[in-house]
Formats: sequence, structure tokens, C-alpha cells
Amino acid sequence: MNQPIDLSRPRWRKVISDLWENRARTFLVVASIAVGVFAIGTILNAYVIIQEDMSVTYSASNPANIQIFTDPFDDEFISTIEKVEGVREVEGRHSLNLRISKDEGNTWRTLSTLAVEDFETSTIFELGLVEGTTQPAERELLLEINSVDILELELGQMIWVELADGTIREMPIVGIVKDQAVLGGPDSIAVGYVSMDTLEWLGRPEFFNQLYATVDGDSNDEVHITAVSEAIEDKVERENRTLYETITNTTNEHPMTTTVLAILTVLVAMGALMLVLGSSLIANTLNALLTQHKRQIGVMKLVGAQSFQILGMYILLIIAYSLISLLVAIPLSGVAGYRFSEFMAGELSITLQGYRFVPQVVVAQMAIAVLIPLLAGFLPVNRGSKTTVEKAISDDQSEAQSGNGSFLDRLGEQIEWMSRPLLISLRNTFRRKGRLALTLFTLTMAGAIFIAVFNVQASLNGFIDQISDLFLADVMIEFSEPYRISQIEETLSVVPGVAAQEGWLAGNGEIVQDDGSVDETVILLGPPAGSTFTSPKVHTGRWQQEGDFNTVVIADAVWETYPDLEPGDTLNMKVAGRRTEEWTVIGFFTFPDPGEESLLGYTTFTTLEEELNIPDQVVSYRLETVIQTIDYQTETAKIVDDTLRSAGYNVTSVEAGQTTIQEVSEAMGILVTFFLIMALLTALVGSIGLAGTMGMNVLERTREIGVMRAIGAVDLAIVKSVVFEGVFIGVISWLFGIVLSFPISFLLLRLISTSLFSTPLDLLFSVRGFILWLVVVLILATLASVIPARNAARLTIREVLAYE
Amino acid sequence: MAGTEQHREPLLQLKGVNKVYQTGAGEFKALDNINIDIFPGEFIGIVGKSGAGKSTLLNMISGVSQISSGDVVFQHPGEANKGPVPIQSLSQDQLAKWRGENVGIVYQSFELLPMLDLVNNVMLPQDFSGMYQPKISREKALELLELVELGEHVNKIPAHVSGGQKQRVAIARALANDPAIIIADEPTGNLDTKTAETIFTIFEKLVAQGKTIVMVTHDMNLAPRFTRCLQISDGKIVLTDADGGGTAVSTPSTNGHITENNHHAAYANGTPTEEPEDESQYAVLLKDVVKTYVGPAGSFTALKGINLKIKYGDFVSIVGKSGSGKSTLLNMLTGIDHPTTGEVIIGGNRIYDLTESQRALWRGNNMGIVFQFFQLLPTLTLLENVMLPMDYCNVYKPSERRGKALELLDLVGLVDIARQLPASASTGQQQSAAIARSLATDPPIIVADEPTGNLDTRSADTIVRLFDRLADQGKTILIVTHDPSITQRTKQTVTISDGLIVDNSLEPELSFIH
Repeated sequence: MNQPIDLSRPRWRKVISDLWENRARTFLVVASIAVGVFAIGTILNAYVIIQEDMSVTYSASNPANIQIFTDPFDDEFISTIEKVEGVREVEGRHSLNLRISKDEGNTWRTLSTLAVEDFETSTIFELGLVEGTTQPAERELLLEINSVDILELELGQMIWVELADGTIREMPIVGIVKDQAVLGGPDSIAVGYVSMDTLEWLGRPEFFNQLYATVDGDSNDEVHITAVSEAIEDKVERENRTLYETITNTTNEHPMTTTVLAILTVLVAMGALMLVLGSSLIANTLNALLTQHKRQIGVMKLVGAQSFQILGMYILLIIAYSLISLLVAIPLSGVAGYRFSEFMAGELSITLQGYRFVPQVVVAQMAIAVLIPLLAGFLPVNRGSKTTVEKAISDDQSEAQSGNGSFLDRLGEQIEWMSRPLLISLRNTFRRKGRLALTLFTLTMAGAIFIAVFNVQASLNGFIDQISDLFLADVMIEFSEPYRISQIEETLSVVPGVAAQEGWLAGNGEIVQDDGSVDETVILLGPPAGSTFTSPKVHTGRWQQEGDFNTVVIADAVWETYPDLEPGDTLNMKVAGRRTEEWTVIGFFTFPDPGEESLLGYTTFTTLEEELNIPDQVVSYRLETVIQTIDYQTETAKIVDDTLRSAGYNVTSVEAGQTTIQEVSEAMGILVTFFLIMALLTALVGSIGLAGTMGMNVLERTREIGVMRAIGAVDLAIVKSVVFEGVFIGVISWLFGIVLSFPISFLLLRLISTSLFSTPLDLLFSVRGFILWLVVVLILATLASVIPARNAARLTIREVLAYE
Repeated sequence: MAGTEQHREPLLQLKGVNKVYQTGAGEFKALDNINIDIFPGEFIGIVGKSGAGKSTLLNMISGVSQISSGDVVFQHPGEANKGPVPIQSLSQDQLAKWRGENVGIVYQSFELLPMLDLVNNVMLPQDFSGMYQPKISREKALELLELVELGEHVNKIPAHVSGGQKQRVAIARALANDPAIIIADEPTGNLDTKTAETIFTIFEKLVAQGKTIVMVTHDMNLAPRFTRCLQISDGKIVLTDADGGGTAVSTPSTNGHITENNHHAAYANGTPTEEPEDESQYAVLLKDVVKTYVGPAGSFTALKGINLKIKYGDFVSIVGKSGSGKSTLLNMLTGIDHPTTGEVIIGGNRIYDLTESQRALWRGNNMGIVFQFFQLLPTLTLLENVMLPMDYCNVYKPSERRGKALELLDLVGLVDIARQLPASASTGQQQSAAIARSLATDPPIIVADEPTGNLDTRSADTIVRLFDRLADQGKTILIVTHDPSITQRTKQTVTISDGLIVDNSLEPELSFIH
């Protein structure tokens, strides 16, 4: 054994022949290894590429370590901040929303736009060129690559910009750029860039309202960045400016790193699972192979072969299967991994460095492809190699011949009401219990994942519905200045199809501690009394009532900060940067923890009216349409938009509620689709496993099938007997899959929701998933059994009775 | 010859060897106090009927099967200094090594590795025993294949050579490590007369060269050609013919060499009449049935023009040695295999006009089949096995089937164990259940293939009595058998040899009945 392998030796020639002569079996084993190695290789390639490239391309753009949103400022203020200790570079931006149209005013969209003082000298969040130029002249627009898809625009296209006074400006798109500050994902927005010189032409004053800063020293040290950020905030507040928001980031970590890697980790886990399932298939096939080769092993032992020599032969066979599968899986997963990375990068607005070979993934694939089949196959191969000559030559099939008196066998024996052909199928199912267990394991896992994906989808949809219930209306109007409700009502009275309408107020609240520091920020919504546009599920305390004032019903995520908060307790809150007042908490509703963003809370319309000092006026207006389809809502939104603008309103946006839901759903749908693909791949492995099992079962029972023929079984009876057995296995796996889908759904949802929303969501169940998987598993089981069944029916009795 | 052996050291000694198998129906003693000394240069024949214990004895000698009690001791003639080897004390791997170095084994079913060409098959023992040297081993394998006259076929795979050629390869392989003893289990059992003779001649040549051979055979005519012949029955050596003359060993005449005369007589007996006849009056009517198998090793004609008429109610035995064409004939009668030419008319039906599936249904309704190895479905109880043909052929109302099946099991004396699985029944009981199953659809014809071939004497008697009763009830029964206790009861015996009916006597031949 310690000599180099001489492939001319008879025993190795047998191994080569085993590989070649039974190509169908070789294909089955190679496919089951290759699918797993391919899946895990694809994900690992994507994992490595995205992780490396996210970091490299993000740091290459010289990202801002600190972003501060504050009152308007100018170059003088920038010079002041530059003097703060620890600050290396400071730049200002003017952030504004432009109302743009690509079809001469037919449809309008919002473009979040940044005005940059000097594109040539700007170094923070340096724009990467995709197409055209990175330095627009006055009255020209750059578009962020992510926005090209969102707005369906292209380089060279002319767009209309509507100013607040209704004036239309035309701007050409002169460049497509990549901005590392722009994040992709479900809630990504369209972003454009203009020069500061263009602002006046757009009816805006030339000032900054957003500050970018980088730090001296270690720009990857979060503590250091926070210290510098606090020094800047002090400076801002000392100048009596309102600080709206501060964001800090290290230079080498893309803000979406955690999210992306969490999703990839889930996919890696699924790939690993597929590998495990594939390995159970390998174990099954090798078990059957060893059973089929039992006689040959007996013959080899008869002519002098010892167990270790036989073991060596079959281990070499397994390694050969692994090497063949690697030949297929490595190049394919390399390409697929990069394509997957490209897709993820596109969706999440990450820039990749280009296609490359990832050696560490190849090494991992090689280790996996060799070790997993060896682990899976060692037991059957070792057992097979120790078969005694007597057992091998006597063709002893005691295990396959009958049950061994287990509970399942006794159960099967007690069923007498069934017809004998059905009984045969039923009892055959439990004959090879080891094989059945491995097949069931594969199919059950596939089913559980499949069902879980649907449950996760239902839960995500439930979350969207929850958001929709809280504050989404059929048509949502935002004004750039307050208007009287009665005036809006009158204007919109000409719009057809409006079933109900409400004016809402909204304001930012800050929960202030005794020492004056701010613990949490709260977005306070003020629907009118008796609003039908919101229905939060208040689980503790109560909802707002007529006469409530300075009361708040707050999202239960507040318990993360104030775990002991109860209805009746008070909070010190400062609304819209005005005076701090005592607010009474009257109830809690379910809403996920938004992480670093603001909490959600509801107060009364009258409270906000007074806090904001805009009596009877609103900046937000909501409509309910008589028909709740996306087309109807969009059409109504357009009419509303036209009506309001014609009447001279300064409208920021008019959006159809369903459009918002659809956009979020689509983004989540992509993620769900990925999981579904993985689930279907798992199902594929499962059905290959079932087909293999049924093939092996038929092969082993060839003699019995011949006997059935000899005593009168027609083709259909034989086919039914095999197919029923396959379907029965499928149904058992479905039942097990249902049970297993609960914990898997829970885990999967937790992983996804914490990655996407930084909070666990409530698990909802989808009947569709359970039923669909039953249909899929029945189809797969039938298909997996039909070919072995047809082969069985085609066997002539002479063949089967002569079969050895 | 035996006298001279007494002064030499035995190569292999069996001392008080017993072998007991645990079966579903209790203990079964396959070998009972066997004592044999095998000397170098001996050519020992072991004869006896199926199930007598011949193969079990060979398995004890080769260490394939563990003995229950007693000793098997091997002493290599050229290595006296090493001392005797008690085989039963060796582990499985030690046994494999011992076998590889000292024993050459030849089985009835050749047991070649199908994916390896002939020369690699022959090199295999050298590879496993550590004697493999690429060039030398190959030259030796080629030399051995030349010895068995297969020099032209060395690069073919087993599927591409004939049965006789495969057996010669198996012999060459058995000689690869120059073993002290060759063990052969029915090496000519699957071969035609001429090929069997070739193989036996090779063995004789090897013995002449000083090899020791122990061979199991059914062919009593070979007895005189052994140096010693042992007859075994129900696990005991019942007769030792030290001179190898074979006079004391029973020899059924059906297994003898076929003379030209009786060949012609049989053919004439089977020639169809010119006159038109009513085909429906015969349960079985075969007209000029020829069956030729075409394979990579060439074509082989298993049936060479069979004409046979069996009337309803006849009790017929079909006899002939292994490889003579009995099973092929049975396959023709049961619609299992297509004739190449000729007609098979069963109960007035030309069964080969039906599709395979239609024929299955026809067979279920019209013919009960009893196999040598019972072929009960292991997952069904005996009762369910009997009900199965009723389900497939939709015979009787579903509610009546259980009662009918119980009646049949009562007929064969198994009603008490009707709800047991086949594995927990004895072989005799399984065969009785198989007979009950063959009667499930009340078919007019029962066909049985060696129904007592795998049974001990007592169980075989029970089965034979069952067939007697069925014959008395008017069933048409055709039995392929080696068992004289059956042939003496049948009304007609059809003797077949090398694909031809050589005798179709209406009275049983009594010359070989004991």
C-alpha cells in the first residue's frame, strides 16, 4: 500500500472499469458531489470577492469618517471645523431634492441631489467614473450608477427639473458615476450631482447643509472617530446650530458589510447543508454499490484479497469520484460565484475589482470534495470490505429480504385491509431502513427549507403590511410648506375616486435625559382624531383618544433603551428642536427596532399642531382611493399631482402607496428568490437521491419483480408498485418537512430580518409553502420513480430470474 | 492408490466437522461429523443430491464458511517446518491470505470479475497475495490461459466468451499462485456435455501433474474417473469409494452420455403429425421449437427443435442434466422466453402472440409456477403471498380472497403459520406455500422447476406427496427435476439433453430409481 499506485495492476484496473463501465452510477455520485461543491464554491467565491472588494473599493474612494447634517453653512464654517483636533479633511455638500421628469412632464420622480463645490478638487467620497465625465459643467447633471436603473435614465439624456415656482429647467446627464456613499438595498434612492454654481439656476441658495470629514490618525479606529465626531458636534452646537444627524464610519468598512456578509453567511450555511444532503446521497449510492459488488468482493477475497486491500480499492474509487466532480465544480463555481457577486454588487451598489480566481476557495472546495465523500462513504465501504466470503457468495440479502421485527415492520404487518400490491409497496418502503433514512433526510431537509423560504416570504410581506397599516395610504402627498387642510380638501374635491382623506402632521422628537443628552430620537406622527389611515396593534396600554395632549403611543422597540417603561410613565421630549416637555406614554405597539434610526411614535394631531405652531395646517396629506390597485392609485396620484400644482401648491412628492410597497417587495423578492433557488437546488439533490434510491430498490428487487410477473402482474401493476413506493417516501418526507420547517423558518427569518432591518420579525406561516411543496414533492417523487418503474416493467422474466 | 496415500501426510484433514445453520424454523444440521483426510495428488469427487451438504463441505475446506465444531487442518506439503494450520483459528483476512497462497477455487458460476479482461482476471490472485510483478505476472497469466487453450482471447472481457471458456479462465485463475489444492464446486454444472468433458480433462491433466483437486459434481458418470469419490447425503458421508470406480455410487441413467440411437428415437417420438389436430385438446403443444441465444461470444442453440404434446391431467417430469436445456424449455412453456422459431400453444392459446404484459395476466390465470428457490415475496406473509395472484388477476371477490387463500394453505398444511413471514418458515414450508400460491387462481396447469432441489429429504417427501394429490385432483403438472422420487410418480418423463428430447416415455424409467 505504501508503494506508488501502479494503475496497470488488476485491482486498480477494476477501479477504473467501475468508474467507466457504470457511467450512470458514476454520473449520479459525481453529480451529487459536484452540486454541493458547486453551491458552496459559488457562495464562498462571492463571499471572498464581495468582502475584499467592498472594503478595497470603499476605502479607495476616501470615505467620510463623519457625516453631519446641520443648518446651512459656508466655507468659513468649514475652515472652523478643519481646525478641530483630529480632523484631516472637511468638505461641504448641499443636499436637495429635485423633482425631475424624463418624459417632458408626463411623469415626475424625485432625485436626491448633492451639490459639490469643486468636483476636481473634492477628495472625500471621490466619485468613480462609469461613463461620460466626473466633472459636470454648470447646469449639467451627473447620475449615480444605481439611479440609472431606478429612474431608467441614460447618459446624454435631457431631463426636466421643476422648480418650486413651477419653472422648468432642462439639464443633460453628462456622466454616470459611482459614489461609495450611496447604498443599495431595498430602500435605495436615486442620487444625482450638480455643481454649486448650478444651485442658483435651480432656485436654491448657495450654501452647504451636509458636512463630510475625515480624521487624522487611525481612520479605522471607531473610538478615535467618535471622539473627533463629538469634538465637531461640540463645535457645531457652540455655534448655535441645530445638529440633525451624525453618521460615523471607519474607512475600511463599507456600511453594508455586516448586512451583506450576514446574507452570504446564510447562503454559505445553505450551501453547506446541500453538501451534507449530497453526502447522504453519496453514502446511499456507495451502500448500494457495495451491495451490488458484494459478490465481486467475495470473489476477490476468495482469490486472496484482504479487507484493507478491498478498502483501498473503494477509497480510490471515492477519490476518483471527487476529482471528477472537482473538474466540473471548480470552474463552474468560479464563474457562477463572480456572476453572483456582480449581481449582489449591482443590487447593493458595491463596486467589484474584476473577475479573478480565488485560490483559497479552490483549496476549500478540494478539501470538501475529497473529505465529505470519504466521510460519507467510509462506513459503507469499510463494512463492505469486511464482508465475509460466505455472505458474499451465498448472496445473503437477509437485511433486504424482510423486516427485522422493528416497530415499523410490526406496524406494516398489521395492516391487512390494503390490497397485496399496495402492501408490497408500503412494506418495501421500510425494507432498507438505512437507505430510507438517508433519502428521507435529504428530501425532508429540502422540503423544510422550501417551506421555510415561503414562511420567510410571508413574514417579510407581513412586515410590509404592518408598515403599510401604520402609515402608508393609497396616495401620499408631501408639501414643501404647510397648507390649510380645508384649502387642500377643497382643491382635491375635483379629483375622482377619492374615498377618504386626512391631513397628518409629523415632527422629530428627541428623548432628553436630565443632563440634557439625547438618548433616542422619535419620529412623531400626528394623525387626526379618529383616523382610519392607521391601525397600529397596541398590545400594551391604549391608543390616542379625544382630548389627549402630549401623550405618545410608542413602538415597543423603545424597551431596548427603556426596558421598564410602562403606560403612564413620562418621558422628557424636545420636539422640532424647541422646548423640552414632559410627555406621557399611554401605549405600546409592535414595530421592529430600527437600529440606529429613529423610533416611531404617535401623538395627537392637536399636540403636534401646537408643538409645531401651524394651526389647521399640514405638510403631509393622505388619500384613500375607491379602488386599491397599483394602476388606479398611480393614476389618481398623477391627477392629484396635476391638480395641486395647477392650484399653485409647492408639492414635494405625490406617491401611490402600492408603488412603495411594490418597490420594497421587489427588493425583498430578489432575496427570497435566491433562497428559493437554493431550496430548489436542495430539492434537486433530494430528488436525485430519491431516484437513486428507487433505482437501487428496483435493481435489488429485480428477482421479486420477475416473480410478480410470473404470477400475473401486468405492466401497470409493476409500475404502480414502484411509483407508489416513491410517492409514499415523498409524502413521509413532506410530513417530516412540515415539522422541521418550523425551526428552520424561525432561524432563517431571524438571520434575514436582523441583517436587513436590524431586528427580528414575527414569524408568519404560509399555507402556500406547505401545499406547493407537497405538489413539488409528489411530482419529484413520481418522476424519480417513473424511470425505475418503467425499467422494472420492461424487464422480462427470463432476465430477472437469470439475474445475479 | 488409496493404500499408498496412507503413508503420506494429509494435505488437509477434516476431523469431526459439524455445521449447523440457524433458520427461521430452528436449527438445520448441514454437516454431521465429517472426517476426511485429503492427500497430495488426490482427485476427490464429492457427489450427492441438491441440498445434501456438498457445497457446505467445500466451504469448510476452503475456509469460506465457519465450522460449528470440529477441526480443519492444513499442512503445506513443501513447508512441513511451518507446522499444520488449523483453519478455523484464522481471522477472515488471514483466511483470505491463506486461500490466496494455498487454494485455487473454481465455482459453477465461474465468478470472474466482469469488468476485467481475462488476463487481468487471472493476474488478480497474484496482485492480492503480494506476488505481483507487472511483467512476470502477465507472462504467467498468459501461460496459464495458453494452458487452458484461451491464448487468443486474453484481452476479451468475460461477457465476450462462452460459458466453457469462462470456466477455463476460472481454472487458470485458480492456478495463478500455484496452489497446493484446487477446490471445484460443480465446475461443469452449467456447461454442455462436450465442454464439460473438456473441463474435466483439464482437471485430469492437472492431477497428472501432481495437483490435488476436490470437486463437487452431480454427474455420477464421472465417479470412476476420480481417485476417490465420496457420496454425501443429509450432511453425512454415506459412501466412500476409495478406488474411484463408482460402482457403489448411484448413477441415474438420464445423466449418461447420449448415444446417437436414443437421440434419433427421441426426435422421431417428438415429430409432429402431418394430420391436422385439435390444438385445444392439449394442455401443452410445442411444435419445432428452437431457441438460439446470440451473444458477444457467438450464438448458442439451447433448444434444437422440440416437439412436445401434453394432455390435460397429465403428470409429466422433465429430466436432464444441468445445461441440457430444461430451464429453457420451461421458459418456453411458461411464456417467460420467446422461441426463436416454432410454436408454443398452451391450452389452445398461441401465447407468444400476446404482449409481455398480456402474457403475465394470461399466465396468472392459467398457469401456476413453482420455483426451486420458492420465490415468495419476503415482505408479505404466507397468506398474503397466496392472495397476491388473486389480486393481480382479479380472481374471486376481494372479500372471498382471504378465505380461499386459507383453504389453500390448509391444503398444504400451513394454515397455522399463515400469518408468518416466509423468513420465519422452514424451506419445506416455504415451498408448500409456493405451491399454494401456484394454485391461487385455480389454474389448469402447474409448472414446477426443481421443486425439491433445495430441500432436505423429509421436506422433499412432503412436497412430492402434495404434487401427487394435485395430480389426483386432475391438474396438469409439469415438473423439471433431478429427483427420482418424483419421476417414478409421473405418468410421462421427458428426457432432454443438449437441447433435444432424447426420450419421451409414457412409463417411468425405473432403472435409476433406488
